[in-house]
Amino acid sequence: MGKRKFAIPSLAAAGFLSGNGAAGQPLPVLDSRIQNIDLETLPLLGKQAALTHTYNLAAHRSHSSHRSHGSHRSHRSSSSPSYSPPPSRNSNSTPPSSTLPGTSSAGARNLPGNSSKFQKIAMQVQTALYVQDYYTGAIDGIVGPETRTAISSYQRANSMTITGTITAELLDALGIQAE
Amino acid sequence: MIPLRIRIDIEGPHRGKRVIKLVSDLAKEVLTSPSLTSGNCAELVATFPSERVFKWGDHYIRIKGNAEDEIVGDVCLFNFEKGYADRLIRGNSKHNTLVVTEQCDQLCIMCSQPPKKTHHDQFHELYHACLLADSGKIIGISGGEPTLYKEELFSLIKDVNKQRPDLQFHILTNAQHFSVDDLEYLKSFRGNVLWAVPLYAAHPVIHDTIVAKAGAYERLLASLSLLVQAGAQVELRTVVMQQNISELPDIAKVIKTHLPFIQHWAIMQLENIGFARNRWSKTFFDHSIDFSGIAAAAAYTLASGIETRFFNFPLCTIPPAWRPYAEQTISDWKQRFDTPCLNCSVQEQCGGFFEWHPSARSYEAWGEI
Repeated sequence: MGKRKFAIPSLAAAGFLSGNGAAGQPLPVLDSRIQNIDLETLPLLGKQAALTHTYNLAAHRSHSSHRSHGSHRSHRSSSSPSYSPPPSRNSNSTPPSSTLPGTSSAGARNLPGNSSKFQKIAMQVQTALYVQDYYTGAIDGIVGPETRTAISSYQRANSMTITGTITAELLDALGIQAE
Repeated sequence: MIPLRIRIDIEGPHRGKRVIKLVSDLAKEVLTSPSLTSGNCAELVATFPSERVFKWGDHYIRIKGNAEDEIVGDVCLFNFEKGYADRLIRGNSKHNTLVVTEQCDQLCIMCSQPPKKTHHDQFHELYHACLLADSGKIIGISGGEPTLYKEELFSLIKDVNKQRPDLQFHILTNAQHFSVDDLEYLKSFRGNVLWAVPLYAAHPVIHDTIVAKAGAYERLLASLSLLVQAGAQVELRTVVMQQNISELPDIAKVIKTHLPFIQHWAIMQLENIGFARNRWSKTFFDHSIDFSGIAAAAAYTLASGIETRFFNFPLCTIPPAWRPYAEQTISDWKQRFDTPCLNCSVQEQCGGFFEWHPSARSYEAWGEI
């Protein structure tokens, strides 16, 4: 009898499989090839060695010299880092509503970066915990109380440091490659 | 050095600035601090070696930097457009200072933080930062000269005090701007504020020369009278320099006769930064060679029942009998220990050196104890 073949569309939809292709090839979402996913390669079996998380790429250590910029002063020398305002002045007494969570403002400049990649990782984590019965909530990429509890339970069950947060160790254990 | 400014990354249309507290578990924190919300807190959701991810509302904020820096618990001012956040009130530190202005009406010869002409008003942000501070924090306020914006400063203290009576303020001021009209204000929050006021000489001319302002000494003493009338708490500070080392015994007498109400007298060593950096050879007084003037002054005030302490004095530079009076005053983020310190038996009790203290032009006598 041959190996069982699986199709779990939600896994692929969550991008869960993409970092786990046997040859390192991401699988396009809803691609017909997901019909042929080998169960043995699914991360839930936890057989992966530690993966390289290219997500950790942003090691900006350029701030090792902090004397040069204005927020680190020394006037109050008995106790205190001090803050000095950056040159641009915000004279509004109320922060602009566009800085509030959940609002949007057309025309506002997007920052360079890729925070939304984290949402994808969070969904992969939720999915992995879901298929192992640790998590029963929505696969939405929002790390809320339910997700945190699920992570803690998983960490406890696998003798890991219990943080309730996503860590490199957790990703390794779940076989998620962050990139 | 502990980084006080951190790089951040958030996707989406975020503009301007925002005060946000970094927390580990919002649901738990809210139980003890009801003012915390998902709008003013970001909750840690992921830790990687070189960055952490916090959830703020529906958004994720990535904070870059070594995961060993303890940033959870910090109240930060996020500047979304520029991509950084300043750690205004660090949860794990006893050393937190908010700079309310960089303007000053004095120009002290050894100023560690030379004043600037322009003022960037951030009282609104600082107010919100204070409200998010951990319970019982002592928050430093410095400048520039904070009382140049007296009205805003008093409002800040009063408003914060109303919401957070558990917080204390330690405010550095040259005490040049208090007036009789301020008495009511000063009285209203006297239990929560320690005013740290510099006095550099017993003789007006010498003090005025050091602060580069004519009449400063007279004004200072008048303001101290007002502070005592208000029942305010006062810390007097004297930075020891070549210019005023001979003044110390006289300053001690002035304190005993005119200012006995102070909380304590801080005799301070110089910091090699700001104006003092270029004037080091003309200002730095090496007390490790001659401690007699300092000892005489401190003995006098201590015998008069006035608390007297040494700020920024490495323990090994002080005669053993005086070491108990040295405080660990150098802020954690700019504190340094040199190689001989590593084997020193009293390193844990010592404040060490300033990060920028010059090894070559340092104390003559120092080394492990």
